[in-house]
Order: sequence, then structure tokens, then C-alpha cells
Amino acid sequence: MGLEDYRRNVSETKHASILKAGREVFLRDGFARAAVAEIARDADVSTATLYKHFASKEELFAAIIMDAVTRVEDISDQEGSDETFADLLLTIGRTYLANQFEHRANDLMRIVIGESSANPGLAAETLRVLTGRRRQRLVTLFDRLVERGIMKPNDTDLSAQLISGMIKELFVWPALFDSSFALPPDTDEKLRAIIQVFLARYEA
Amino acid sequence: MTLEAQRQSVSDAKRDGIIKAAQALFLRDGFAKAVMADVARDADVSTATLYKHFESKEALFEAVVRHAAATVQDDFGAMAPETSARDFFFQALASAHLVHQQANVTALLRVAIAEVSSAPELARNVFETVVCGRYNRLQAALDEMVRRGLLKPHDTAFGARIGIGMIKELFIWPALFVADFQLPANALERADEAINVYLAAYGA
Repeated sequence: MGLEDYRRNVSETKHASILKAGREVFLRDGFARAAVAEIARDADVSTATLYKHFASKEELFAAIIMDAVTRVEDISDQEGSDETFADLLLTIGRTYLANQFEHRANDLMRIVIGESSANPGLAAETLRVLTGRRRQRLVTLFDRLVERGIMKPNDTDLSAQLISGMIKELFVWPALFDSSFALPPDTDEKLRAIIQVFLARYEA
Repeated sequence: MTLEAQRQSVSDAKRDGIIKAAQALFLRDGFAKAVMADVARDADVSTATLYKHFESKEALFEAVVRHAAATVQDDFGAMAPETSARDFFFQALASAHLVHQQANVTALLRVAIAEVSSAPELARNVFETVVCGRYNRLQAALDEMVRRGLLKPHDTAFGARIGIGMIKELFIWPALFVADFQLPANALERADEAINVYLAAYGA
């Protein structure tokens, strides 16, 4: 390993531990009360190092949100040709929910929403990450499905929003108001019912 | 006016004044930081009078939310669908549009969401009264349309949720993050597609 590689490696490790420590502190204390010095201490780096990686508390928080939601994004690219449209949507829905619940994305989102008047930039950036980036993956997938004649031609940006809206209403919206809300046992069944509604309009 | 009626009238006026002052303070300071003495001062009543009307800050917040929600015209049950399910949905959509413009409801929901970890009961109660109240009103209207043969028999509790979910994704979700979110000019047009999705699945 060259010195350059070694340095990069150390830097990436520090980056990851800052994200991890930051996540814990934000989830525990909320955004306003979270102390950057404490995050640095928990991540075992100096505050100078922390600020080298993330210029501000806002930037660090945005990176944590991004980290929490990007794990799911790749799924929309996994377009197995043998899968039916319904199965594909089920996989996407399941992965989205697993991410949202297992990675505490709901808890992070609640922090952002609470902070939106004090810190409008942070909330706007989160919304951009959540809707812009995540939705774009789904739109790209839908566009390909339209090309392949699996999905009827439609405004895919809109249809992507509509299916997200149905899923969020059943599972994410209640979780925003109740941190003890867990995915119900019939989650898969509900997802399939949503997909059926969606396919009635969009399946070619 | 009898003495009794006059007392009642003064009391109602005070109550209205308290709710108005409290709404402004909750929106400005959030729930945790809002101070009851400030509410009393702004409403021009004594704190004793304030507590006679609302025994706690929680009770006051719930009254504010109920009041804001009541000013929104979404009495779906009264929108008696005579001719077609589509006519009903157009009306319901216009009222949902109004809900957005009545931005205070969204802002108050945001205040409740921010308080989930410190005041879990508060957010749960708001969810029960505002969110579930709307589900129930829409479900009643859907049931009526099924009875009239305007919609196929279907799980209307589920239908009410996904129907609201589609509209919320377009109108409310972004406003939750961005306080001055402006709906795009073609918002109602885009929302029409949600009606198309619903009718494709459940239209008679």
C-alpha cells in the first residue's frame, strides 16, 4: 500500500466514524442540542479533523441523511429481466421500508422536520436529497420499463410520486407521529395491494 | 341578553383569544419552548383564566390543532356524490388543495412531529384527531359511493389511506420540510392523475 493509499484509507475510516458518531448524537439530542465537539470525541478525532470533513453541523447532518437513504437507492437499478413488474415493485417497496425503519431514517426525518423553521436550509436540502435523488432512480427505472413495453407510457415523475405517496401514507406517516410504530405483520400484503392499484393504471 | 348568556359570550371570546394567541406562539416557538404565561399575556387574560379554559399546555395545543383543522373544509361526507365518483374526487381534491393553503395545519403538524420524543402522547393525539379523522370522513364517503354503485366494493379503509397518501405526497409532504413551499401552477392537474389511479382500480 502506497503512502497516498494509506492516507486515503485513514481518511475514509475517520469519515465513516464521524458519520456513525454524528448519527448517534443527533438521534439522541436532536439537531439544535447536538454538540459538534462531542461528535468529534465519540468519533475519536479532533474537531479540526471533523471540520475538515464537514464544514458545518448542517453539512454533517445532511451527509448522515444522505448516508441513511442512499443504501436503498441502488435497488431501482436491479432490474432483473425475469422478474415481473409486480415483483420488481415489491422488492423496491420492501427495501425502501427496511431502510426507512432499520436505519432509523424516520427518526432522522423527524429531527429535520422539527428543525425546518429554525434551519430552513437543512430541511430544504433533505427534501432535495429524499425526493430529488431517490425519486430520480425510480423515474429512470420506470422510463426503461416504458421503453420495454412493460409499463404504459405515462408521466413517470408523477407516477413515481404517487406510488411513493401510497407507501408513505401507510407506513412512514404514522411513524412520524409515533416513534414506537413498527411495520405491521401484514406489510407485504399491504404493499401488494398498493402495487395492484398502481398496476391497474400503469401496467401495459 | 341574560347575565348567563353574557358570561358565556365573554368566556367564548376569551377562549377564542387564547387559541389565537397560542397558535401564534406555538408556531413561533414550538411546543417545548412556548410559555403559558406568554399565551395569557398575548390573549390579555390572567394565567388563572387560561388554566380554567385549558388545564395544561398539552390540552391547549390539542385545542389549537383541532381549531385549525376545523377551519379546513374537508367534510367529505357532505360532498354527496350524485352523478359520478370522479365528480366527488374533484371536489375532495379541491378541498385537499385548500388544506395546503391553510398552511397552519401543516405547520402545527410539524410542531407535533418535532415533539415526538419529548411529548409522545401529544403527537399521538394529534395523529388520532387530525389524521385519522380525515381517513374516517373519506372512508364514509367512499362507502356511500360503493352503496350507490359508483365504485366497486373494495376495502375503503385502505382506499382512504392510499388516496390521501397520493395527494399528500404532492401537496403536504414537501410543505412539511419547506415552510414556504409553493405548489406548482399545475398542481391540481397533476393531482388529477391520482384520481385516475384510484378509478382504474376501484371505478365501477
